[in-house]
Amino acid sequence: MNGNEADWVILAKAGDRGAMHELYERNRSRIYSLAYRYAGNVADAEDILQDTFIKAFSSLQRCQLKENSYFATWLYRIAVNCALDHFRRRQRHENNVELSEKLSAAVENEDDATPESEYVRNESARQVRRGLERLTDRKRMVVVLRHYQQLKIGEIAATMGCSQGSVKKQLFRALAQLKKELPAGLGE
Amino acid sequence: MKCKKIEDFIFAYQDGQLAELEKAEFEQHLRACPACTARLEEIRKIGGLVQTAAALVPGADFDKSWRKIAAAVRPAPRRQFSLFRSPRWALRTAGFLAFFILGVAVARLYFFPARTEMAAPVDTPFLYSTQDYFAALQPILSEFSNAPGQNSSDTIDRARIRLLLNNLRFLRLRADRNRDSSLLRLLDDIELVLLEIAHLDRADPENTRLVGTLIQEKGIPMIMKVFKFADRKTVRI
Repeated sequence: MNGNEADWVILAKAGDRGAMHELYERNRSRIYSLAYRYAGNVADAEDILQDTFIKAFSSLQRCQLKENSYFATWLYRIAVNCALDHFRRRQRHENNVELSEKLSAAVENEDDATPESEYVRNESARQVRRGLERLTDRKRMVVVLRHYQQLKIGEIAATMGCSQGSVKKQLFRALAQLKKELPAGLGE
Repeated sequence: MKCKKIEDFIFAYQDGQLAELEKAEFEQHLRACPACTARLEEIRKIGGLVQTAAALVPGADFDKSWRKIAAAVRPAPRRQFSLFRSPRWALRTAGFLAFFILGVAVARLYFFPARTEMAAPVDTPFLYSTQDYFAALQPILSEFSNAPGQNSSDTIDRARIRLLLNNLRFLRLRADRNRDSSLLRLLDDIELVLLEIAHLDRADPENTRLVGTLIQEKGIPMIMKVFKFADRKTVRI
């Protein structure tokens, strides 16, 4: 069955596991990509991916989707909230500085062996990653949605549940902070 | 277009979402303003660096993730209707309606009390109708008010007076419930007279005369006639 997503959503609402799996297959890459680019490591990204789908499927029956075709947008929004919650929870237990150090250490360690570390070898990429990690959760999410997920300002506002003005303001501030974080010559 | 406004349009310009006129104005401003051109270029450059920094996303074990998701998801059973789970607006509306109906019922009882006229049971000396009561009272009042001392019997039917006093309590209760103040005033006067008669000694002509005077002063026979022939709702004495 290759039917459109809205049909799968109807079946999933009725508790059909096959339909849920199909929806997962269709959306997992997009959600994982967002989660990885926000979290910066595979373990956290997988946690966010799982949280997102567990939350989505558990609340699918009582969710008030205007139309079943809006499932992807709705899922994206859940993913953003899961990602923000994930780091909020971690920060509650860990000191911000410790977390930042751990993230930076993770970036350093990626040089060693992981197959995904090819791009980290580039010095400028590493500096940008460090800069991103120092941004606040919401600013980092705005940058990820804008520059990694290629969303337009209106789409970011809808996904994060805030105004377009607020998104623009956060994006300007995030980019200004990133510019400061980057070594002279890189961001100039 | 001013520099401050340019900031509002930068992202829309990057997304190609500006209308033709706005786009022309924007580009015209850029040509004339090196600061804004530099600002746009800076945003482009940092954005580009950010994109380059995470161009690749490493693979993940999607099957393992699915197994975890499938194990954790428990589709909720279809919900039965429950008062406590129904939408909040429905509960509010039901509460408001119940409160409104209760309020109307209380107000109706307070402002428009029911005027109940109970039918007199057969074979009972109890007088439920005010008119019947007045008819029963009339001979007694006449006996004392018309030429006291003459044509009067030597004994007082005290049992009958007691019965009329008991009957009076019922009529007062009903008048009070109907908020009929003029009738209440008349019944008060009748009660006073009946109590005097109940304690009267027939051998004492002076007291008998005083009761006759009291009846006349209070104007009881006249007011009873008014109640008998006029519509009580419009008479206020």
